[in-house]
Amino acid sequence: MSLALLVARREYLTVLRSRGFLFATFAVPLMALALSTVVFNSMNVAAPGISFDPGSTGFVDLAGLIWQSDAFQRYETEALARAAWEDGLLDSWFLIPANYLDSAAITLHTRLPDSEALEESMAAFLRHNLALQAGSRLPPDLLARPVDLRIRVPGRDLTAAAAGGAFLVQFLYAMAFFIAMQTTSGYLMASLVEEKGSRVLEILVTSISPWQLMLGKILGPGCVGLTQLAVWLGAALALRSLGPELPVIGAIELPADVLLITLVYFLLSYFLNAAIFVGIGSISDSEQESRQLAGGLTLTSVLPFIAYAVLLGDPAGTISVALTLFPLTAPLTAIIRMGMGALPGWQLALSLSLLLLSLVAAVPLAARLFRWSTLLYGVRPTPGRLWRMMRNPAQGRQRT
Amino acid sequence: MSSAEAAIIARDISKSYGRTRAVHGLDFLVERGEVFALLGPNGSGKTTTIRMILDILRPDSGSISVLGQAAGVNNARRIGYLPEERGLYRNAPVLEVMVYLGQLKGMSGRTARSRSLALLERLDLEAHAGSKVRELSKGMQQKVQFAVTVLHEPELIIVDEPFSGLDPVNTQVLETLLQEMRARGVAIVMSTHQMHQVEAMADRLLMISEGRQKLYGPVAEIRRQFASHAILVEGQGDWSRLEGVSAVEAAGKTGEALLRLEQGSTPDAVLAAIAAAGDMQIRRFELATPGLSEIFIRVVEGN
Repeated sequence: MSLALLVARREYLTVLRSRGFLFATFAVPLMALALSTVVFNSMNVAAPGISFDPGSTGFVDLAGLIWQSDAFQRYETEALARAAWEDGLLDSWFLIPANYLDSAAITLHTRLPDSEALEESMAAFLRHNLALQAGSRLPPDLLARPVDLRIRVPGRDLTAAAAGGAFLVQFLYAMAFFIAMQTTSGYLMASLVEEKGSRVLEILVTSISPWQLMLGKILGPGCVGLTQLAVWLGAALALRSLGPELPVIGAIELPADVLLITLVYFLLSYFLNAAIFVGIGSISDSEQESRQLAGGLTLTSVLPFIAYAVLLGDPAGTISVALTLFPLTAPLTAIIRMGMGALPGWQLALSLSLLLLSLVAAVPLAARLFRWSTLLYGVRPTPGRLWRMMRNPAQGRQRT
Repeated sequence: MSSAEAAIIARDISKSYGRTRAVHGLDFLVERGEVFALLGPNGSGKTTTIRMILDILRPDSGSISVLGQAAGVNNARRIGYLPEERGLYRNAPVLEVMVYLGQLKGMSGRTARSRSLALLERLDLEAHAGSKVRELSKGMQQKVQFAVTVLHEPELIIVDEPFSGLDPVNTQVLETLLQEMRARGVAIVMSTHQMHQVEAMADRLLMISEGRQKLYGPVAEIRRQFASHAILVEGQGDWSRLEGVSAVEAAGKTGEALLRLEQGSTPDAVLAAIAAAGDMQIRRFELATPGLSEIFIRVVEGN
């Protein structure tokens, strides 16, 4: 077995057997679920404007029933309405099909987390227009309940009751990604600092090159993160199969393309974080110091959560795009925006490219810091020493 | 033994960190099957020298060959290293740590495990195989560290303060193990400040100070070089009336005396004089050579 894989296996098994892993894998998500449910609900109560803005709602009338359309913006074709929605000009649009009078079926395309107010407004809007043109000739049931709503959020077709759950799931999905990323990066840094502190590193570098060692130390926790994600995905699927009749659980849907893109984001983002954490671990003398240094990185990573309301309210706005393109915030922002169907392909491609470029730049730098830290035991990494080391990487060992 | 068979050949090696010159022009050879002491005060360049032997650092100039291989060739599996400060995973079980570090040295898991158990038994630690490292005493941890160092049966071992934290009994156990390895042809480089261990075990030594070579050669020869023109005797008699003796000083325990010799006098002549005197008894008669501790201090202080 390659020495790097041997190191990775040890790191993986050590973390897997730790109580911290069990806590992070099982307890933290439950706490996050409870917390996000509270946040989600309070967000809707505190900011009802997020859930419904008539000016950002369009409709297409294939039944020819709407004479007065002041409340919403009319679009002549489905294609025009869909394009406006995808470009972020609309939060929602609904389709009144040609056979509406037979079924009252309305399809609502929305990225809003709560469509209840919109639903009521749509019912009033339809009732008013039906009364204007058909009056008493219409079936009484239709006037009493003019909307039998199907809601389409990106990639999903839900009943109205399930739509709120879908947004909760998307939020949890992003949170799961974040927890996996942070815990695994944390394990990496803690392990590195422990090996420096206990002088094991001095033994290891007599057996294995710094590059192999660093690779193994990154791969091990990375696999832990993937294991965590697999556990959570399995739990989500199991929940879904157990309770499809429950609206929120029924909304758990993870399209294959979203999963694949998430996996790519996870890998790129994990390696970038790992490289940064290796660098921090290399120049830190203690776990406490490394955690302080890593605090800034963590704070940056949670920006998409802090700006969640902004992402929901203006998913195509400048802040949303900036957070999508900035490598440290890209994964969470992209996942959230993908869930809202508000991530154009070019932004996804650019976001992934910038992340990859950052990774390419960060890994050699981290490797250099790591190698340096293995060479100069007990030497305080002052800014001056770091600068000299960066300028003169050849000082020290050549073996890689 | 020819240099071609040597375990380490260092030729004029130098190493600097920025403007600080850590090692300057060291030239030495370590043969297989010998205990070689690397001595020097703190900050003298010993660690840098060890790191160059381990190929962690490269010399800025000069060359170093280890086990017949030039720098850059991965010799890790043929070398064992015991650092001055213990390097073990404190929260992992002893056996697990040993097997893992053995595997990193190229051993299979099964071989590493069986050899670890054998070593633990030899070191009277078999009952602690499943204990976490942090649960062991300092001396026990040192023995585990030593076991890790020799687990993969290296051809060259480098030990930095190997007897640190050990009681006399365990010191004896490790000394015996080291002697056995030397007998099998293993080269042992020992860095220590415990000069009595060097006197007891080392065949040759290299003493460095401020990165420069101060002493190099067989221990006995170096001690002779520092011998004063005096004889240590133990016995009974009036030593002062001996021909060729200029002064008599009491030395050590009762009955020991240090006889300072006159210029031109020799130990053989003094011994002959004692024999001729008839009324003197001697139980001990040897050249007065200083201990390595004294030599160390004299060299470091520049005397």
